[in-house]
Parts: sequence; C-alpha cells; structure tokens
Amino acid sequence: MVRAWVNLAGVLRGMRTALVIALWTAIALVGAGALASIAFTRGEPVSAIWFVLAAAGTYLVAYRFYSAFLAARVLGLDDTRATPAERLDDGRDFCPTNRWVVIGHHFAAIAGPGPLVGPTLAAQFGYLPGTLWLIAGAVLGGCVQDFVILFCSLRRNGKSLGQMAREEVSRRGGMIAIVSVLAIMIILLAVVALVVVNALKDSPWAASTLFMTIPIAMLMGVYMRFWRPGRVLEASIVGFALVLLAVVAGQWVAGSPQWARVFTLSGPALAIAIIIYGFAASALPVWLLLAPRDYLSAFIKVGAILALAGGILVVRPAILMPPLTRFVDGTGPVFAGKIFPFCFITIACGAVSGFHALISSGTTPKLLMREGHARLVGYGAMLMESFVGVMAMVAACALHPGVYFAINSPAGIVGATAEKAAATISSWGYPVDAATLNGLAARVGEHTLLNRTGGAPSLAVGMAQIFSGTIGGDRLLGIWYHFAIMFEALFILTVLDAGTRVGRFMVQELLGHVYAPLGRTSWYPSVLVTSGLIVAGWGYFLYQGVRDPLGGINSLWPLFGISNQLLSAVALVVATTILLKMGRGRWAWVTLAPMAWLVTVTMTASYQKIFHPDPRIGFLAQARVLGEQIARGLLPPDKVAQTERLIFNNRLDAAVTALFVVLILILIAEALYEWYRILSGRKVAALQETPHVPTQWAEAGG
Amino acid sequence: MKRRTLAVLSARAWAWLRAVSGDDAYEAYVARAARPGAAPTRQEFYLDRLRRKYSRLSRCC
Repeated sequence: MVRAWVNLAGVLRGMRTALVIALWTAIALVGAGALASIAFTRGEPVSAIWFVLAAAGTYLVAYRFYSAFLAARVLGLDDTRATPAERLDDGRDFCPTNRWVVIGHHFAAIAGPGPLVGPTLAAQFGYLPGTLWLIAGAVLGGCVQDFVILFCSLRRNGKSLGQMAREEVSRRGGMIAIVSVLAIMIILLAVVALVVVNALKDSPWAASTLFMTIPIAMLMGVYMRFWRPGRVLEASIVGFALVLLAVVAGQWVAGSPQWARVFTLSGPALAIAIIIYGFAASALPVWLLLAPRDYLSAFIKVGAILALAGGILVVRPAILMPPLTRFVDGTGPVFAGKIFPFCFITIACGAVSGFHALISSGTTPKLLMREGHARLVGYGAMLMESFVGVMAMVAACALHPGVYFAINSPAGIVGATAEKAAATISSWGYPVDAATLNGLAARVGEHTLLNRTGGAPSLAVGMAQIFSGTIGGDRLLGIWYHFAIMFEALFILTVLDAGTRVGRFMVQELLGHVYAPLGRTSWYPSVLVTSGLIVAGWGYFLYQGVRDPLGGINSLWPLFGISNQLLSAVALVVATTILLKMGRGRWAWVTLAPMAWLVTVTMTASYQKIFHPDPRIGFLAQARVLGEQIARGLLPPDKVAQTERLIFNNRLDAAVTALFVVLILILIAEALYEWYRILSGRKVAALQETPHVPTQWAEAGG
Repeated sequence: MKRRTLAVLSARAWAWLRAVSGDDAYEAYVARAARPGAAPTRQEFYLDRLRRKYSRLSRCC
C-alpha cells in the first residue's frame, strides 16, 4: 500500500516535470515561430502581434534559462549572505525593500526617452534589423550588463561604477569613468532637448500644453511641500488630471489667433527657452519644480507604456514598413551611415545602455533584501526596457513608409513643402502624395508634420493611430497625438532637469579639488556658476543642432549612441575584470563577448563619424566641404560667418568623438594588462568584495 | 470567494503603488525606526528624501 503511494507521488512528480518541459518547449516554439514569421515574411504586411510574441517568447526563455545560468554558475548569487540593505540599514539610503517595489524603482530610473527615440530612427533601415537587435542585444548584452554590475555593486556596499573601476581595474579607470559620464551626460541632454525642440516648433498646441506642465508641477510641488507633505499619490492624481486638461485646452490655444501667435515658436526660440528652463530647474529648490515634475512624468510614462502595449494587442496594427529598406546602404535621409555600425549605435538604450550601469551601481543595490533578487531586478527590468523599444519600433513601422520618411527627414534632403517632399520620397519607392501628408497633419491638429526630425513626432503619430483605434477613432486623433507628444516631452524634460542637476554636482565635486568652496553644494554662487557651466555645455550642442542644416539629429544622435555604448563597454570591462578575479574566467565570455561586440561597433562608428569621406557621415569631410565653399566664394557674404561656425562645430564633434575613443582605449589597455597579470599568475587577484556576513533573516522575503 | 481574492489583489496593488511612488515612505520610516533621537516630521522627512534622491543619478536615457 505504502509503496503504491510512493509510486503515485513519483509518477505525479514526473508528470509535473513533463508538463513544465512541455510548457517551456511551447513558449520557445511560439517565440521562434513568431521570430521566423517577422524575419521571413515578404511582400505582405506582418501583424504587430508577431512582434509582441517574438519578443515575449525570447524574453521568457532568456530569463528562465540564461539569467538562471548567470545567477547560479557565473555569479553564484548567495541568499545566505546579508545584503548591504540588511547590514547597513539606515532607513534612508540603505533600506531593505520588497523586490517587486525595487524593480518598480529600477525600471522607472532606467526607462528614458532612448528606447522610444532610437528604434524610431533606426526604422529607416526597415523593421527587421532594429527589432532583432533590440531583442538579441538585450538578452545577451544589456540585461547581462545591468545584472552583473548590480551584483558587483551589491557585493561592494553599493559602490558606484567609477569607484569599482578605480579599485578593480586601475586608478585611472575611475577618472575615465567620471569624465566619460560627464561628457555623455552633456551630449545626452543636448540631443534629447533637440528632440523636444523639433516636436514643439511651430506647434502652438504642443508648446502651450508643455508650457502648462510647469505651473502644474509647481502647484503639485507646493501641495506636497506645504499642504500635504509627502502625499505623492494625491498630488500626482491632481496633476495628471490637470495635464489631461492642458492637452485638451491646447487645441483652443491653437485655435485662437492671438494665443496661437504667442505659442508658435521657432526652433532657436524654443532652444533658448529650454536652456533658460534647464538653468532654473537646476538652481531652484528640488521640491518646487524638479521633484513634482518627476512624479508626474513617472506616472504618465508607466501609464502611456501600458496603454501602448494594450493598444497594440487590441488594434494589432499591420506593419507597413518593409523588413529592409534601400537605406541599409548608408544613404538614409533620417541619419547617414550603413546598417553596420549605425543601426546598433542608433538603437542604443533599448538593447544595451551604459547609463544603466550607473543606476545598477547607485540606488538599487542599497535596497535589495537578497542577492537572489538581483536577477529579477537587474536582468528583468532591462527586458521590460527592451520591450518598450520593440513597441516603439512597432508604432513607427505601422506608419506608411512614405509618411514616416516625410516626418523624419530634414528639409535639406526632402524639401520643405508637402509637394516636394512627396515627390522626393515617392522617387525612392515609398509612394505618398502631398494630400495625404497635409491631410494627416490636419487630422492631428498641426499645420505640418514635415521635417520633424528626432523621432518623437513620428512615434506620436504611430501611437495616436494605435490609441485612436482603441478609443475615440479619428475624432480623437489630434488629442491622442498631442497626448503622446506631451508624454515624450514631459519625461525628456525630466531627464533634462535631473541630469543638469546631477551634472552640476559632478562639476562641483571636480571643481572642489581646485577651489574648496566651489565644492559646497549649498553655496549659492557655486550653484549658479556650476549650473551655468552644465547648461552652457548642453545648450551649446543644442543650439548647434537647431541651426544645423542637416537637422542636428544626424550628427548628435550618433554621437550620443557612441558615447552611451562606450560607457557600456567600460561597465563590461569592469565586470569582466571582476569575474576573472573571482576565478570565474571560464565564464568570462558572458561579459567579454558583448564587450568585444560593443568595442567593434563603437570603434567602427567613431572612425566613420570622424574620417568618412561622405560629408553627411564624416565630421571632417563636412568641415572640408564647407571650407571649400567659402574658399571658392560660393557663399553670399552674410552666410560666411555662419558657415565658419558650422565648420568649427563639425571639428568640435570630431574632437569629442576622438576623446571618447582615446579614453576607452586607455581603459581597455589597462584592463588587458591587468587580466594578463592575473591569468599568468604574476599578480594575486585581490578582489575588493565585502566579507561574507550571514543573513539574520529566516527566509527570503518578498 | 472571488470578491475576497479581488479585494486582496487590489489592496496589494495599492500597497505596491504607494511603495513604488514613495507615498508611504514616511509611515514606513516611522514604523521601522527604533532609533535614538526624535523622529523628523513628515515635512522634514520628505525634503530630506528629495535632497538625497536628486543629488545622484536617478533618471537615465
């Protein structure tokens, strides 16, 4: 009798195992089938649902198997080891937190405008290369980086990437990390500000809506500071309702001749307004503008992303963009350069983002209750980020290719009128007519959608089509479009505020070594000077981008992508060094392979951006062509000064790119030397880990 | 039974939302703080929290 029961239990266990195996086989097959259908379908539109299934299937399998392998074999996560949050708990910085709450914080911190803008721009190569890189780059590169750096910081009391680089790689490594972070931040802030300018210029509806978010945020700030201290949710709900009202009210502003004139702003005027705003947001107390805007934007961000996911599932739009376009040859109008390396540089954050390493070695490791939670938070949050990128790709590729190119190409390439743009784009083989372009602009409540480079407007049109397919139909297209624009602009401005402020602290820290009072973060003269320095830095590149006849995005976005991917290479160098020192050299390929790939991509892209003979790609070639125009007397006298400035800007861009390359090459050389000494036994691998302290908690919480 | 499950789930979602947004930060701090010295007021705690949060990188690309 007893034996029969034991047998039965064994059989049941066996059946359960078989079911689990069958389930994972099914998930893997669905994912693979969906990938095959988006990769091999030709000549007819693919449904967006296959994109969702391909991504979700791959993510699930990667999370279940690859991240488990990383956790158990490569890193050896140890749940008996007390985390910094347990040992150093002070209720403020170090604070044991439920893992589902930590992943919420972590995702809100890493999800920025990058995975929305990058895939939209990369859609000019067709939907296939970008989608494949978003998925593969994330599961093999981005998620691994975030996870491993989070683990390394967790074992070092939450130390930053710069500190780890200094202690584990070389003394110069820390300096390289800090300088590159500061430089990247300046380029990042400039390019995202440029995206906002291009979305708002000559659009009274969008500009007035975004302007209204400033008093709304201040009202929330006063509410949370004085009336109901710390009641974040109440204030956010009030703020959200007011912002929705501002979106609707924007059309009345645009409809009134007087007010429309006030809010119809040119690119340079908007750039100056944003520069002044960035300075104010950095110098004002955080409770007044920065914090409430951040709360508001985090809510709208998560809401809009969930709504987009729901909308894609309900509407299941057809993907009208071909899998590959003719622009893989490097002649694309959105940005110049071949599919390798520029597809990877352009996608950037949606697949691998160096910036995430700063978050993974910042707040997050100070909150985790168990080492094991690092897998969900580090690997899992990046999967979600990659999914946002795939959705942005879907929204952009659901547009007619002709419309997509009309919105995203600068006037210098397709022309500034609908007729001209339609003729040029049709001649490329993406038929579109002027009436369609004008009609679409009118339906979303704009004068024109032409030449709105930067990705945000075309994504907004794509999102508006998906949303209006769910709720409201064509009648609400204008509201949805401006809601999407507001959502993108709002959280770009949040990145701008927060980035300017953190950049200010970094500059203060650096200048504090030169003159001590400048290092005091509350000394007002220093606040004004250092805020001014940071704003001047990104403001210069922003203004340069606005005045650039090729549209600015063409030079600034690749510069940002290169710097971001280089920072990721820095993080992976640090991670590989730590793995080697831990005696896990056997598994070092998990970080070494993505690092080698990123170094190859960024070095190729940097070389081309500096030296390529095509003036649209190479900064120096562009400077040379402009110089020849002046020398031959081809330009009217009033244009000469402006052209000389353009020449200087191109040389500056080349110099910045070269600076990034030199920094990373120094770091890699030092790391290689360190690896050689460790592997050859010339140096004892001194790991800077905190010693093992057993956890006092009985069982894994959360 | 079903209604109960729904209530539990929505209570959990609400608690999660409060925790993620930082809405419950003060209550959580006071509940856990068995520390010497007077606890800060709600307002002091809120301002201190903001100062810490926005002095380091909290948002990304």
